[in-house]
Amino acid sequence: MTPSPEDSRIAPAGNTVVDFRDVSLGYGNMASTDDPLILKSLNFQLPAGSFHFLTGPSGAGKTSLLKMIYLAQTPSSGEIALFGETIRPGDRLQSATLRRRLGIVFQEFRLLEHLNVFDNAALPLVVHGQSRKQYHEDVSELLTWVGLSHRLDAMPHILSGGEKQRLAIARAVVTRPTLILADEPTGNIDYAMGMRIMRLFIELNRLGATVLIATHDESLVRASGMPVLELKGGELYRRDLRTPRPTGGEG
Amino acid sequence: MIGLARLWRTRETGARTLLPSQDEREVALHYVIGFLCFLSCMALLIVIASDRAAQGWARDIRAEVTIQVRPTGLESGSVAAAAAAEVLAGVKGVEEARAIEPERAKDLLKPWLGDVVLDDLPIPNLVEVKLTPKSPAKPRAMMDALANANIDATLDDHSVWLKDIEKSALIIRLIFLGIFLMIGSAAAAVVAFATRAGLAARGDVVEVLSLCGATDTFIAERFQYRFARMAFESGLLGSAAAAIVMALIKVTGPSQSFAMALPFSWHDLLVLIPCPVLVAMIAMVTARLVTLRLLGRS
Repeated sequence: MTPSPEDSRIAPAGNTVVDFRDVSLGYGNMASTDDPLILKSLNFQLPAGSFHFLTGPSGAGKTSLLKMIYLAQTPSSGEIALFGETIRPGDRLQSATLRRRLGIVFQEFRLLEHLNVFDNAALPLVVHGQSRKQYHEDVSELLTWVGLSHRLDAMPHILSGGEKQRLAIARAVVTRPTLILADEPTGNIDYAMGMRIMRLFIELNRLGATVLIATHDESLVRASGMPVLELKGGELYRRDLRTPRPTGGEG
Repeated sequence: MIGLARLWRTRETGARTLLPSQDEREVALHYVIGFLCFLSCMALLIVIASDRAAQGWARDIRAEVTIQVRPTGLESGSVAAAAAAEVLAGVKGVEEARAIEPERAKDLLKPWLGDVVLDDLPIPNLVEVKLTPKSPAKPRAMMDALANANIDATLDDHSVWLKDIEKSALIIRLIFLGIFLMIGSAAAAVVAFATRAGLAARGDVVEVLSLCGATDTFIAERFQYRFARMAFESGLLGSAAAAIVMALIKVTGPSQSFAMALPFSWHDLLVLIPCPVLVAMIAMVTARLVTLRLLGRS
C-alpha cells in the first residue's frame, strides 16, 4: 500500500479530529446517582496528525472510550465531535459516513469467518464501493507488508493469533483512514512483528493520519516515545506529566 | 426495475459474497417458497381455465334461444311450433330454427318431473333456435317476425342461466385471485421471518460491515440479493412443477371429466414465465424493508 500525502481524506494538520466535551459514560441508569461512572466528564481533543497511546489498567474504560469514538457506544452525557462534526445519536447515516474515515483494529479481531484473508482485508474497500480490479494491487501489497502474502486464500479459522492480528490491522488501514483506532493491536504478536506493525502506524501517522492506540504493552509505548493518555478512575491524564491531573482542553 | 439493476450491479462487484453461504434454514426456505410458488401458479392456471370454460358455456348459451309457442284456434301445438320455426328461419341472424318434437320435449323434462307425472301434464310447444355466432338475431326482431305471422309466443334467451354462469365465473375468479394474493403474502411473510432470522444469525457480520462504514441500505442490499436469488430459484422449480401438473391434466384430460371444467391450453404455460421473477421481486422488497426496519431500530 502506498498512502499518498495528498489524499484528500487525510485531515489537514491543525484541525481537531476527535473532540470530547464533558463526556461521561455509565452502564446503569444515569438518573440514579448510585450508578458508577466508567468515564467521568472527559474533555480532550486529538488534533489532526497526532499520535497517542491510550493506557490504563484493565477495566479502566479504554475500549469503551474507543467505542464511543467509533460510534458503537453512546455517551451517557456530554457531546462528541468527529472531524468537526457533532455526533447525533441515532443518526445511522452520519455514523456510516464518519466510520468510512476511521480504521479500527478490534481487540477480538472481528474477522469474517466465511471470507478468506484477501477478502477480509479488502472488506472496507468493498463497502466503499470499489471493484476487485481497483483494489487488488493495493490489498496484495498491504498483505505482503504485514507478512500474509502466503496466506491470501486461507480462511481465518486456520490462522494463528498473530496472523489474525495482522490481518485485522491490514483491514483497518486498507482505506488509508483519517483516524486509526487500535485496541491492543500488538497483543497477540511477537515483539519484532509488533515493532513492524508500529512502524506501519507511525508511517501512516507521518502521512497525516491521526492514531490512537490502546495498549498494555509498556515496552512498545516506551520504544515509540509517543505521548500517552492514561485512564485512571474514569479520568484521563497525560502520562508525561509528573503529577497526574484531569485533562481539560488537552491537545 | 431500478432495484433489479442495482441488484445485478452488486453481483458484478462481488459484494454479494459478504454474507455467508446458505445454511440449513435456507434449504427449508427454498422448499417453502417453491411450494408456495407452485400453489400460486396452479391457482393462476385454474383461474384462466375456469374463465375459459365459463366463456365457452356463455358462448353456447348466447348462441341459442328457445321459443315457446301457444297454439291459437284449432291448430295443434306441433303445427304452431312448425309454423313458428319456419318464420324464424327467415329472420336475419338465425342459423337454424327447429320445432322440438313432443316426445323429445318429454325426454328433456323427464329428469325433473318423472315418467308418471308427464302423461297428465300439457307439454310446452318449443322451437329451438340457433343463432349466427357473428351477428346473432336480436330477440326483438324474432318476436316481431312471430307477431307479424300472428303467432303467440314467448322467447327465452337463457339470460337467467347466462347471468348465473357469469356470476359463478366471477366468484371463481375472485376466490382464486384471493388465494393467489394470500399465497403471495404468505411468501412475503416467510421471507420476512427468514430475514429476521438471517439478521439475528449474522449479527456479527452485519456489525462488522456497519463498523466498516456500510450504510443500512448497503447491508439491506446484501440480504435482498440473497433472498431474491433464493426465491427466484425456488420459484423456477415451483413454476416448473405447476407446468408439469398442467401438462399431465392436459394430456390425460380427454378421458377425464374435469377436462370440461378446466379446459387448459398450452398457451397458458406462458403465464408461468413471470412467476419466478414476481416471487423474486416479492422476496427482494420484503428482505429490503425488513432489514432496513430492523437496522433502524438497532
